[in-house]
Amino acid sequence: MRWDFWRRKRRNTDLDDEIAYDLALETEEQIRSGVTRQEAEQASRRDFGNVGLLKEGIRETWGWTSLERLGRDLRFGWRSLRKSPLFAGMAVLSLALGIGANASIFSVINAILFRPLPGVERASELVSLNESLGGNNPLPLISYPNYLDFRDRNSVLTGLAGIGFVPASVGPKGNCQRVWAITVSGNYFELLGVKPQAGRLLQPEDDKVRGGHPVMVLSYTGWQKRFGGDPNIVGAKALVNGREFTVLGVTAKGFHGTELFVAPDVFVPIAMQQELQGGSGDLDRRSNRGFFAVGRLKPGVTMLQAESALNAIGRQLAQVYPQDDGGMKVTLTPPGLLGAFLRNPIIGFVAVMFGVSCLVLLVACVNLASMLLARAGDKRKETAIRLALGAGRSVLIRQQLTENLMVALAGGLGGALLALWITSALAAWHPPVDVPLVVSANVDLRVFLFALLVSSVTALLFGLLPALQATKTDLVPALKNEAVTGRFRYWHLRDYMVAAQVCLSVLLLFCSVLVVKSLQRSLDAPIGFQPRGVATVSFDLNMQGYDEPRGRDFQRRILDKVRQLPGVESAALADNIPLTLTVPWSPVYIEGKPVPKRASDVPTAYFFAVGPDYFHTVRTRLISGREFDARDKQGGQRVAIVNSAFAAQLLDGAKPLGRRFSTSPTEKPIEIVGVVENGKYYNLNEKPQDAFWTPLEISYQPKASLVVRTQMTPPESLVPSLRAAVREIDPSIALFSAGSMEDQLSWTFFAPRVAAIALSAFGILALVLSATGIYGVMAYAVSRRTREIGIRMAIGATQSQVLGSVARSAAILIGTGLVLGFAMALGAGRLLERILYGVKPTDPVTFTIVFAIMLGVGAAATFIPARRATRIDPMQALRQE
Amino acid sequence: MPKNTPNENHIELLQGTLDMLILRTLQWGPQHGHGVGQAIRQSSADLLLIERGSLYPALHRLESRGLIESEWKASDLNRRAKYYRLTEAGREQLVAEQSKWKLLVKTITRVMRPA
Repeated sequence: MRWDFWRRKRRNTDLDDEIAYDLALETEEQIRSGVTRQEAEQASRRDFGNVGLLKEGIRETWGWTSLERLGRDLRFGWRSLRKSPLFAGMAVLSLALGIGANASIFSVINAILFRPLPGVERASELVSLNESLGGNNPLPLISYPNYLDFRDRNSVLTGLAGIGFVPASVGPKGNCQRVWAITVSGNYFELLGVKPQAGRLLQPEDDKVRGGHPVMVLSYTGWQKRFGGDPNIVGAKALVNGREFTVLGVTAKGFHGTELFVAPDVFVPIAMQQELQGGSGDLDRRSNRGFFAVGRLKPGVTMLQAESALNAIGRQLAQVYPQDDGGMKVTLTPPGLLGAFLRNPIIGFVAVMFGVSCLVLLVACVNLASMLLARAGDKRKETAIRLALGAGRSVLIRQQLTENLMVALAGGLGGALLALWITSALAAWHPPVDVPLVVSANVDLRVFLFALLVSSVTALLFGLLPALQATKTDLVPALKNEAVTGRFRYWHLRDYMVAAQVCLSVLLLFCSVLVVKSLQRSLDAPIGFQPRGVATVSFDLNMQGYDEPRGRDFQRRILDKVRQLPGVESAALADNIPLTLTVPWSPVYIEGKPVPKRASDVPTAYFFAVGPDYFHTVRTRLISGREFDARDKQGGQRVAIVNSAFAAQLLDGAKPLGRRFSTSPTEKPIEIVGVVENGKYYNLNEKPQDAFWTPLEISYQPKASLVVRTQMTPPESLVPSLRAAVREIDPSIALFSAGSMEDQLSWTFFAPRVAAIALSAFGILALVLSATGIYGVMAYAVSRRTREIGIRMAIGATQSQVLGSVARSAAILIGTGLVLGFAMALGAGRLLERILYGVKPTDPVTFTIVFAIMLGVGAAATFIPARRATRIDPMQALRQE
Repeated sequence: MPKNTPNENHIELLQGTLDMLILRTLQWGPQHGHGVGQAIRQSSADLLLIERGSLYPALHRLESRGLIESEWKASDLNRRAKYYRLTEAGREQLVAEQSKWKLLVKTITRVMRPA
């Protein structure tokens, strides 16, 4: 390379000599024909033509390979960027921020939608079967009998596996921990094509007899985490809810089931469901919807064809079992996001974030384009000189584009690093939730390619126009260093850039403010209870092998003990805490109303089993009737407390107290004795949902949480004494989800908070970018008009007239941008309408806020250059050019 | 005698014939760039004026194709000058081009012959 360089240098001097020799001979000849030496030299030079161009042409014949040419352009670009570090820094930084925001969101999309499930064969053929009865059943779960019917009757799937999630206490003897186990049908591993790391995996023979297969398979992480990677694990015994299970094998590294964000430790045959789950593990009830189903499409069958074939089976089932399956609908989706449950909300959310981050990138690009235009203006003279010396326009454009590409690639690299940083922060995040979550949005090759593509397209698209414009210079005035004063009234390309930037920023700000406001609304909306000042601990007596009488006794004793603890204001038991993702729901049959024929017509309500003093402890307002109290003990009258939504929607607003309902047409009715205020039970965005509460003493639940209101701050400082109280009664009982109630709920609040922060960051980023953009262009415009302003002031214009003239042109640009931006914002608002909560897409407050912010930023960015214009000294301005 | 005034007697060079003329000129022995231009002019009785803007690129092109080679020698003006010389490949190329040219001339003449 070095040698090559020297050779090239040598050839260049040789060429110079050769040409000089030619000129000398020519001059001699001219002199001989009788003119003076000076004339002869001039004539021969004139006659020779453009020496530079000739040399350029000859160098071309030496065979510049495209690589060498690129190297030359890169060196030139580097030199020229080094000469203006401020421009280069700003351009790279704004692109890096724009691309970084974009690539981070893209890596999340990549992780969720594009990356195939790990450890699974031909993941693209897998489908998740979602059953829906309508109503408020949030999870697309399917009952075991329905699963069997779908599995055996269909001809579109090569197989269908059933999957259930059950918390269980698992581990070697003496070291049991509460984990989420997956109960799977015997065909699960075969269907997915999972390889064992050690031993063997479950087979259909392991799922034949109810309660007869105490065997399990560990996931690789479960083996490492729970059993320390024990090499003799195959054939070893481990305890599951107190019963001995044999470990058959370990799945290959990487595989963690069919859910993207849940990493289970243990796989157990569905035949053992009842052993793990107790009463609610009933496999024979068709209305007991507790399973996910994942199938593999037969070759050549599309998802749509399979869906319609499965719906035909669904209609048959609905006809035979109208009470359980009437009105049932089946949808197929790719697996991984709890079937269809998380899919649409996540896609919607990610789409909005991606759209917003694309807008940020667009703002950054427009910013870059306007910087390039201003720079082209600065380099106008240089460009003109080069053109005058015979440089081809294509060469100049090529060099300009190379320079832009360098800026863009540097920006792309910065953006990729930013995305790397953001996603690794995301992967390190362990949400405080009672499910083994895996969040992996790693930056992989696809993300890097995406960043590369975006930055190159950016450079070419947004750099080409300025490059074309710059090389179209009118040579004579440019060389004379004259401003194009005659044309300043017309809109320049960079003026359009300002308008475009304002317009995009308005759009972006409007969307961010709207969504942030909606998120704020959902965060601030009353949730029907007051988690602040409450500590909770949970236990599952099922796992300790307690039967019902012992369990009831324990629950009574622990509550008595806790109420005696110092610092405790009040305490109560509840089977589930609202907004913690494990809230069950139930069909509701109102007494005196006809029983609906189809299951999908039966209304549903969330239900909780709570002990006395619960509503007082969590501060849920009692509207009428009474709380549960000492009257509601085992064998007592079946009573319930409902919320006002239940009263309004299911009882048609009639007086609720004394009305009766049941959870199945064959069950004894429950009498309503109280009404409480509405709350949020599943997520923050839900509309008022029906809910009812029954006394825990009457409907015993082995899994329960102690809910304790305390004066201690923080409330979790009460946890040690709660633990001690439990240990005094039975030291073997494992507690989980111990801490403040607010921590328990943080999962629910997390997504909206993250979204609000991200969107605010995007909004601020866009503002900064467009402020620098407006400032840059206005400052440049003023500097170009120095001479004109100088003349105006020389013939008597006042400072305020000058200020007005500069401000007016800025106001026109910013005003145009504002109008266009708001027009687009109206359209975008309509698109956002579906995901907004409590905010209208035409929210006048949002409009006002965005208008005020943009106006403020625009005015500030204009003011500084405008003031500089008024300080122009006419004498100096006129002499300068 | 200013050379840059347009002369209606000048002939526009046919595309692709310059290379052949250069090779032909160098057949008589090594010559520098200026000399090649002069030789073509003289042997065409001042009808063919070769622009240096075409001549030098053509020389370098031929050199990079290996049809001619160059050598730096001291010249009559007491300066270093670059002399070009025909290579074996260049000689063969000239023969081939000459016969192609003769065929072309013959064919064109036949077509253009007075009716």
